[in-house]
Amino acid sequence: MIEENELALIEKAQQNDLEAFSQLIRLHEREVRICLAARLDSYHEAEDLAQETFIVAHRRISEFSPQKPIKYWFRAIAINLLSNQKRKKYPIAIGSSHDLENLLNDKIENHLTEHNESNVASALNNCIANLSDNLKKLVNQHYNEEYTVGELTELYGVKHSTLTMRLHRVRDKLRQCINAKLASSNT
Amino acid sequence: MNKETEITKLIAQYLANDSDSDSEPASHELLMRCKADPSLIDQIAEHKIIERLIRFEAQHSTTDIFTKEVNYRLELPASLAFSNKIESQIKANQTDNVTRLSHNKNTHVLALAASFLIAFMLWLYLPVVEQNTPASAALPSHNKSTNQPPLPALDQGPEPTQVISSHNVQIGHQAESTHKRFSAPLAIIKTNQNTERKEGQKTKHESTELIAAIDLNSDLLASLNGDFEEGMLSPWQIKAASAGYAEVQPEAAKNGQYGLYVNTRAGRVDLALNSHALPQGFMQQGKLFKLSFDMKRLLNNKNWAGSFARLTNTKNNYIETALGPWLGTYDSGEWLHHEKFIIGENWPTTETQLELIFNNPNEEFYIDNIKLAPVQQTNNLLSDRNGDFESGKLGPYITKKVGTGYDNYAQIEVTEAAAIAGKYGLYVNSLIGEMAIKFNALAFDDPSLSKSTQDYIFSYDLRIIEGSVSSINMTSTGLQTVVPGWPPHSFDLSEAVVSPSGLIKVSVPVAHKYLPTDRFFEISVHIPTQAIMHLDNFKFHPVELSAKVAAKERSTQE
Repeated sequence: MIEENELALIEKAQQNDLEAFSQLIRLHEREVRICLAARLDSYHEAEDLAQETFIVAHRRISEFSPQKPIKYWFRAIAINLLSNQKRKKYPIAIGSSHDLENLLNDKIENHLTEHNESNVASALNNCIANLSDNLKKLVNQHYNEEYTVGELTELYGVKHSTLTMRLHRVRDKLRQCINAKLASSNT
Repeated sequence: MNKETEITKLIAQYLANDSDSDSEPASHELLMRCKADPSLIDQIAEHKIIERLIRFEAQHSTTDIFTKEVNYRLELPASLAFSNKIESQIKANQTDNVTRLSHNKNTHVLALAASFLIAFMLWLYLPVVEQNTPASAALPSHNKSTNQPPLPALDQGPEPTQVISSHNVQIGHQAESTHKRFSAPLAIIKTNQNTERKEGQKTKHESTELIAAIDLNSDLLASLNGDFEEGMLSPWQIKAASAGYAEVQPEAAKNGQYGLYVNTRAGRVDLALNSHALPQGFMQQGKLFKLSFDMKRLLNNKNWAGSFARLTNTKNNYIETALGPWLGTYDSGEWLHHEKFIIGENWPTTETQLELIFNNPNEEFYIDNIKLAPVQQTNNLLSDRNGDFESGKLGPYITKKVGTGYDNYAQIEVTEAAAIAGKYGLYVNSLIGEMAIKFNALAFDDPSLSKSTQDYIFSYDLRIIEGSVSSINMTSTGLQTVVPGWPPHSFDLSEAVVSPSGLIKVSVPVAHKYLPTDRFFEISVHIPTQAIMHLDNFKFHPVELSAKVAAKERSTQE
């Protein structure tokens, strides 16, 4: 069931009302951005594609049937742009790391189809909140402040392998927590 | 080590994906393990998703900013959008071709018949050619005589190119360092022009027709708190690598209420205006920018102050402008105004950031009035004085000698093969001896030069074919610059310091004080290193701030 408000916004956007289209962006940007961020290693590339998604959507909004849920339409555009980008940009390479990456990409796609990435993201936020302060700090340093493993190794005065294992354990903790939350929400 | 721990370590190593470690052996081992135990793939995939989502949650901009960014792109006038511009050019070319053909009915019929014939020939021979042609031969060639330069693909921005810009230094002193991590694609001079034409000579600013939708007439940092008058640091950021700190303080103001205080007692401070804040798409071929700021060194240190500024782009490959200005030794307690000219090149239209870096520990600075202003390039004095060698000869404006004791021993010829743009360029072989040439007084014989109150820029394109190049550029009034400065003293293709094309734009700012007072003025180029190279597009033009910026600067001074 599409909310009346959203329906009105779509109809206005179809009459070139940019403000209405902006409202639609506000309503759905997070899902689109998460959808792309979960599928790409480069955060910046994901953000670029997310912007491009809405640019394309704006260009084609007149073709959209307002009775349908627009969030799936945005998502479909994002996924299409992503596959185009992958086809055009990434070379077909050989070697174990690429074989493994291909396998992983298929698996990631299956996983995200099964559990919507927005659900994974909100479960992740809850799980991060439950981490200890030390682990939160490590996550923040590596993923937000972009310290490399090498830099963190020097910072903490530990071996490279110790730090990679520490990061792995944090992720594994989060993984188990997310899986538990997703399982409980399904039941 | 038990098997489970071993696998966990392998996964951890693979996912760390750190530049310090080689991931290929880990990938191979892991791939083997995954084939034996497919559940491992699920586990790694989940880890990857978690990594990506954590990064997103940590770094993503707010809904408001994202919406504004999209709106900004949506509101672009169609005529200004890069892809639209290219699209319209293609359409115009197609229309032109069709119109030309339709003028003559016979031509039309002939063209149709020829098309069928060509298609048939291609069908017949192409498979054979494809099998026998080496990969390199299939690459598009850059034919100088054609009137149709290759157009960039619609979905891509212009190719990133490389700039090596110089900074005024006395010989023997340290100048800014040059690119070391550069690995961008082949450097190019133009993207959208007929190569028969010389950039900026036949048609002013022709190469800048592809304007991004930003106001290139005003200070790009005008609303970005470059004067810190908002009383806070935002949207400037202190990067994670910083050990020291910076904060906005009233005491740090040169003008207005606030300035920035930087303290590196605990270690370096990296200040950045990232790509979310900085207007994007301004780095374009043919544009010139002036980065300027006021800085005061607070501690009474006598050593080199160790700070620099640069633009970087990380969209495809890491590219950066030459560093600078380096701050030399000077007495503390004085406000100094620093300026750095940045030559526009066709960078990707996103992910450009501005960095101010303070490397030396145990320093304190005040900084104010950071500006990144476009400057106009007009009146290239060498445009009709064979600076582009399009006469096909060396001509009367170049002398093969710099001065007494500086004779030219290099082989110098104007050839077609040496052209970087246009039909002719200067071929130089300094393997047999040093190159010493100068644009003589005849080339600079212009009454306006001695009356000018502006700074000038002397620039040229240099393509290294073999060997290494370090050029010393001198004016008859005493200015001497070495390009590149320090390190590594020269560009050396064997060390891949420059891009594979070996193309460099050399740019030498000539301050107003070095202009002649008596109409006698010469600029010499001395290359003492051994190399085979091509030189082209010599220019000498005044630097003018764009009208808006100049007006604003005037009003500030008043």
